[in-house]
Amino acid sequence: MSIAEAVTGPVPTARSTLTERIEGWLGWLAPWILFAVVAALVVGPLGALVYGALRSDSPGAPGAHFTFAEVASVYQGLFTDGWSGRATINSLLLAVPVTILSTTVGVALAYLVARTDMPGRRTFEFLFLLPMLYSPLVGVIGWSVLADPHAGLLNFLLEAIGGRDARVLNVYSWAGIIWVMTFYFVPYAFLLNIGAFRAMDPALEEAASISGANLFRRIVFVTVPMMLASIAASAIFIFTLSLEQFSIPGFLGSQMRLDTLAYSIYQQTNMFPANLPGAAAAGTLLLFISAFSLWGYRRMTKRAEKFVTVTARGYKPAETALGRLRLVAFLFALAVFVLGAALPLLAVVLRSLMPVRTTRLNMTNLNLDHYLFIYNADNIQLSLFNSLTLAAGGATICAAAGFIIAVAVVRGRKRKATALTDYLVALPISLPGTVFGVGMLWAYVYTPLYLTVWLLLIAFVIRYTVYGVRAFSAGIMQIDRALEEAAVVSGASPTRSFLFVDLPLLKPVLVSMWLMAFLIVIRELSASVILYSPESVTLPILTWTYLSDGFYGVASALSVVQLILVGLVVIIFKALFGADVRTRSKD
Amino acid sequence: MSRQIDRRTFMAGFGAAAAAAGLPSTSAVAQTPAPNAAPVAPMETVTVTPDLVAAAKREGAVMVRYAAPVEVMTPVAQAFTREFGISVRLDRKAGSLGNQLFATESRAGRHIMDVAWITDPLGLKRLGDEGFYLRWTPANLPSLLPPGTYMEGLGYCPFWTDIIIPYNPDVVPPRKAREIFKTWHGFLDPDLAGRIGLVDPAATNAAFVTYMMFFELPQYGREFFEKLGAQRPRLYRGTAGGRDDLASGAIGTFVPAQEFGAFHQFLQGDKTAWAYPDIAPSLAINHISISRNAPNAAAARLFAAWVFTDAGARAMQDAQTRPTIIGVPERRSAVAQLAKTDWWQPRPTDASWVPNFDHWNNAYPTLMPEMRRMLGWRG
Repeated sequence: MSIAEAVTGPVPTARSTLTERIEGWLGWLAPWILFAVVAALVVGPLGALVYGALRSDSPGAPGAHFTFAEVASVYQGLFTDGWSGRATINSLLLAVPVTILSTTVGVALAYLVARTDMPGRRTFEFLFLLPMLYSPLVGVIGWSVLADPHAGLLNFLLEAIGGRDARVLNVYSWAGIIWVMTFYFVPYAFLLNIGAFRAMDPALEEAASISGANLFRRIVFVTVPMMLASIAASAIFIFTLSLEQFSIPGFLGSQMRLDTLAYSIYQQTNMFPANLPGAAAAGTLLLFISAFSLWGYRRMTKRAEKFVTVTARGYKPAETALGRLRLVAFLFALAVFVLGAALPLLAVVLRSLMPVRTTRLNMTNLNLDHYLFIYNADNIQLSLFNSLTLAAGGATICAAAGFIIAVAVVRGRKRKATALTDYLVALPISLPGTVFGVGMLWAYVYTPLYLTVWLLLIAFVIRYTVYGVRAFSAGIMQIDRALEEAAVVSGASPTRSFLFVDLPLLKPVLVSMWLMAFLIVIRELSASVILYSPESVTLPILTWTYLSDGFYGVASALSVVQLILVGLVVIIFKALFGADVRTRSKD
Repeated sequence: MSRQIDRRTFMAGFGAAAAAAGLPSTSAVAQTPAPNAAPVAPMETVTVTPDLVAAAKREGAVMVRYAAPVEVMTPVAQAFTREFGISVRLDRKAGSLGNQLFATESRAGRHIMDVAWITDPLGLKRLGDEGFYLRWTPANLPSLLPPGTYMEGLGYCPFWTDIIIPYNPDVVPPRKAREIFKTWHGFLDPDLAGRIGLVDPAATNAAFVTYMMFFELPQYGREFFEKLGAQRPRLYRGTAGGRDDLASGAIGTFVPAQEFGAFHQFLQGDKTAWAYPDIAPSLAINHISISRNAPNAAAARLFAAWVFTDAGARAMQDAQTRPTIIGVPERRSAVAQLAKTDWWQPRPTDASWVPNFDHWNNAYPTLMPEMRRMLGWRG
């Protein structure tokens, strides 16, 4: 029973709100139609991969035949100390601590920004997003410059303070990799949870406070349990993305001979000769791990009504006064920003100004040559246009599709079709982007979309709609259905009910979700590096090209340019929607 | 397994190429037709002619998929456009990706790429056998290119990838570097423990072949590589990271470093220096091939043929690479500037080790994992 029902008693069921109308459509046939649409998009590349995994050679190759050899080799390796077993263990050993740490920090920051009177929270809200504005490789470059055991600037600083033995930082270690990955994923946890925190009715927190619970007890026993759906969704995401992430452990891990599953798969696609069936077979392993974690999430959030926090009762999302803890919270937020974004970013800016890297930093040599190089490069404008339009288009479609699927999934949890849709939509994100790209290639090579910018758009939508589904699912779970029903009982049309009840309540989630999808798409590399053509080149691809050929200065400058431009988009977006969200939620 | 068959196929093709090029062939099946081979098309001689230029200009563009370094590809493409007014659509596809795409497209009947400039000889041979690449040759091949720089009828490499021993003078004093790096044994200097960078042999052909040289040369051998692994080298996924770390002083030396990359960094003001040891790999691994179904057939032929003219060689030299074309005078600006320094000596002409493709191909499946194990990888 929802909180609203507990307070007001059962609300007469009306079947004409828009979400319920969608639900109505979905009543019998529609869940299967929705499933078919999602399947049509997802099954193409995934089916091609599974098909590829069961072939002795790439699909279409002469003499290729069906075989279980590659699949057997990968799964056998799990139990016989083969490459897949060791790589899987390494991946899990990274993904678990990264998920715990980044979710904890991200949720804490989201709480501080959305629900407390921490000083500077509006500024922090933007600053925490900075790592999402550039490629993960920027973090790798930045931390290599800062924390290389022999040449890291921070180590030089420590040496100056405490002597040679004080050079203790080493980014090429387990701790270093977890560190870089954690800060990479903190913004995900932050963004995935801040909307839900904003939408949360503070009634229970207030009740706990009146009952004498201190801040810690309120957070642990009231806030966190109410936010569990959102927190679990973000944790599942980060876990999946940590497993799939290959560039950070790939670059930093080689020095300690660390192979992760995602990197090993990438290697299979790039070795001489490429072993695409092997890569596809190993990709299925990640699919299983992801499906298992999704199963855990669905079990955890089985009873959606447990997470209702937005009820028919009017509420004002009050800020929790932190008192003397304000300074502590501020310093915590500042530390996260400095360590997670400012320091590596500063290092990258510095690198972009250095004509060449040198043993000791010489500030007099700094110049803008790399920026001039970019300015004169032929394909910068095209890549910029492609990146911005793909990100905006992709985010919008992901939001729309995510909303429809989320309504079906949350309101129709007991239906087999919606459960299948929920699983299906989550699968593409669990594959390394490179492998997913190969699947898209095989699936779309016969179509006119092949190697066009539209193929990239479709790939992004298939891969990232799950963000919309998760974000909206958590948001919808928080909304008491009595609110929609009350609007209908009061004579509102379904459209008015949707526009003036559901949408305002979901708007914080929508804003966060759209922004996150935009930021993810605009820096997407791993799938697009397979699928792009000279006409659909994007900014991350250009950066990658320069990076892989050793033009670290140019790549750093491109990253800075991307950061500035995307930052401007975010500022404009926040100015248009962010403030509005805050005002409405406070009124 | 079909991949093993492919290797035999590859060996067979290379056996033929090596025989034509005067290289010793170790393949017992060198002249055996490939099992999946398409009917052998007649060899087409591709040269720059007025008719070809006119036809190419009518097409107006050529699409080149490349894995060659961007600092090489960009000036070469610009020079071609300047000369003929034909735009070059550059499609960067690193590693074996270019051939993967081409294979997928060709098997599906999609024809998008005109020219491949890639570093995947095995894939090239295989797709040539499937009939997807044009059987072509530049005119006067024996007097144009030296043995070991081409896969006859299929791919021709326009520049050498010369491997050097670079060092950071702040980590390895120049006098010491000049002494110890006369041979590769200098890497075993105790002072370099933990300060050597090596590229993962699975990551690039250049890395694998350089290490293979150690295994093949009696003065180094397997034991040398084991000792190199015991020096606790830093391992990289590609040469870029190693070059950057070398410049920063994070490492003192690095393998495999390429001469033209070092030239570029030198011109940018990098203080990294280098030595030419007693013997070092000279690799010809960036082959130019033409799609048999190139949408811009004339422009594709013109581009491929032009690269092997003096104008193409000059463009290659502008990119600081050493052209493979026989008899091209040294015109690289970096060489002129390096000659003014007190530490640089020109590359000795007799110090090149050119890999035998058959050995390379035969050794790769077992030697590459073994190399990784010797460098500390497990699994």
